[in-house]
Amino acid sequence: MNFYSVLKELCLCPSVSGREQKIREKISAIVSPFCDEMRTDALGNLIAVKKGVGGGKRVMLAAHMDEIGFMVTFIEDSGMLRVATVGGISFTAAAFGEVVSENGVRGTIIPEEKVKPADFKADSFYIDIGAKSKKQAEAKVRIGDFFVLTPHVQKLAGGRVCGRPLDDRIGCAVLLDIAERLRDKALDGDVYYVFSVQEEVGCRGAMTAAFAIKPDIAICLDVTATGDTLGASPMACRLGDGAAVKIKDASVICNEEIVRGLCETAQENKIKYQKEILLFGGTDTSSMQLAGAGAAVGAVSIPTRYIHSGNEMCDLSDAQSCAALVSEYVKKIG
Amino acid sequence: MLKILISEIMMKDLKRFIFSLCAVPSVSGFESRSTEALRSLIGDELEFVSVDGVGNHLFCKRSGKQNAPKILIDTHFDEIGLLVTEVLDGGFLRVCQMGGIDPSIMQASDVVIYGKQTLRGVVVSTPPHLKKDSDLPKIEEMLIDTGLSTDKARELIEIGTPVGFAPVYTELLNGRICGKSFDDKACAACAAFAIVNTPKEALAGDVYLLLSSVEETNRLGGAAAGAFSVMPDYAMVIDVNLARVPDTKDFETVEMDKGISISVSASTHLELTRLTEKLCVDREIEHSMIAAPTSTGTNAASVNLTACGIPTVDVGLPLASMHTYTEVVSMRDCETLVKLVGEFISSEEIAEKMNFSEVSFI
Repeated sequence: MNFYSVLKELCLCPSVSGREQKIREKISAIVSPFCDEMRTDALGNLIAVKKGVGGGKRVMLAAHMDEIGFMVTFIEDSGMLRVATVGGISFTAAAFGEVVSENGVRGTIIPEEKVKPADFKADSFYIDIGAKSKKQAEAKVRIGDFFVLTPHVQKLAGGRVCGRPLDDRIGCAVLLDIAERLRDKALDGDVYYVFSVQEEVGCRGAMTAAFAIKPDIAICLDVTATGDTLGASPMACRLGDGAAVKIKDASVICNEEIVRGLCETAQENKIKYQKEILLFGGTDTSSMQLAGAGAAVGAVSIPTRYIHSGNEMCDLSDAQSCAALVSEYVKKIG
Repeated sequence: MLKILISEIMMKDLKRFIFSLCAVPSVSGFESRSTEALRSLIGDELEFVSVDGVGNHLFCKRSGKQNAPKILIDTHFDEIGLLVTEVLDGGFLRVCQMGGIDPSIMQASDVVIYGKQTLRGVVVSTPPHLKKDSDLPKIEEMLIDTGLSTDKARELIEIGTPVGFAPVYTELLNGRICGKSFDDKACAACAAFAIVNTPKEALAGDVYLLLSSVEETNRLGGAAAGAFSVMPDYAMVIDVNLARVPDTKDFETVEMDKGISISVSASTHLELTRLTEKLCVDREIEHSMIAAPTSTGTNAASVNLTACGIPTVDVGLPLASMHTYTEVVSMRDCETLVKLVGEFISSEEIAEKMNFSEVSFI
């Protein structure tokens, strides 16, 4: 598969937490030649299975399909839309941004007059779709409809990409890449490629998927922050320095053996890697660790700048390192 | 024989059943003390399955069909209340709250103390003559006057004794009723009433009524454990919703007398939500759609995430003055809720589409 074109296709398909059907259909079509079975569970997780020949470890690899966004809660007489947030929205990043609904209705998200940036919150924002009245707005939008900051992706200098929502469509693209790399490799154990739902609202989907799969080993593919921007909090993770092997984030401490195994695999295969300690934020890693009777977990992260803004930035070479590292690691243990 | 008579009468009179169920004491965490009262009220109309280790009461009505799907209806049975933290000289009690209580409703309220005997008490109120300022004390600083001697109070009331608000029920005009713990026992009563009055032959599956515990005090609620033990094919969670009154914001509330609300939320199942909405439209059940983006703030959020995931729809009954002893609901909305539950458990379309045991394989 062409990594960039898959990434772009996934990014341009708005699918907010709890409304992942469209992106699931796209991913199903791409992953189906790389797996033996596919199923969608009650929450909407897509679980693609590569069957093993028998006797090996059950490995679960997960990337989340959902993205942050807004939900329409009320339509004012003026036709303006009141919204609430789904996931960790940065309102300074969203203010005056272009938005689009799941049904393609375009608009812009605006803070109420006289509200200072320090006081930005969901209550003080509304979406203007240009409707002249409540009636006109109701013809286009229902309560409960989702909006997102308009998705876009472009290539920048030096093999970098910028746009949204790279969190976590780039993880999904990496997972698809891994599935392709492992397609023809006979492994003892089953490998489960899980494209999870509702990560942005509390790492929910991976929990029920892991309960169903009961993996021995689970690895999460998600974005992580970097310490290489101006004014950034100190963090030893840089764009372009390779796959980030997670030691911990705010939700999880990764299994030591998996961390060591991933690092050794990277060294053996000369794959560029770095270690990641993320002091804030959580990932599906924690849900997979605690579902059912528990699993040994790790995570390989794609370093990303400006996460949850309208312009997230990644280095494509890091994504390639992540795909190479995880597929080599699975070959080794599977 | 008497037991059956009580429940037979109850199940013909919704209002009376709501009042009776709300009068069964169930301070959060102490629900299982009321198993007998609850069973005698519901009688043999529903099969009593169990009271579990976290205080969930589970009832069932079987369809008699083979391989019938399991339908879970969850309403929480616990109510907000207080817990005795100290028995003071002179028969006064210190308490802490169980669930969210606004201190401004506390002073001068009538309470019931569920000690070795059931006792009455009143929350001491400082007369305006003695008040230096208008500051309201915290609940932990308030006192309950039991009227008992120090010794008698210590004999009958231990630390850890639950205290509830006294049940006083009033009928207002236009079909509004007023009382305590309508949150969520009015919904529990409507759900039980609907299941009892739906003929077995009409059921689309085996219906489990979970009167769940500790919703007001535990992050997951007892419903998480209850749903796990039932492992249903799909579920409806019913809880009260904030009703609109002149001082509330329109976009945060729902109108009374306009039926029930159905939440659109990331924490519920979209297809089941839309099917329930369609059911309301098809059967002319008054409803409104509301947005509860990240979480419904009800048991729906935990039931939905149970085990491999349980498709869940979240339904709300509009209620004014939530978390007081004078909560108000509309009988018209209650009747709408009864109708919805009856239709939901009878819907073959929903039963057919919510079948995730046969997931699609390629």
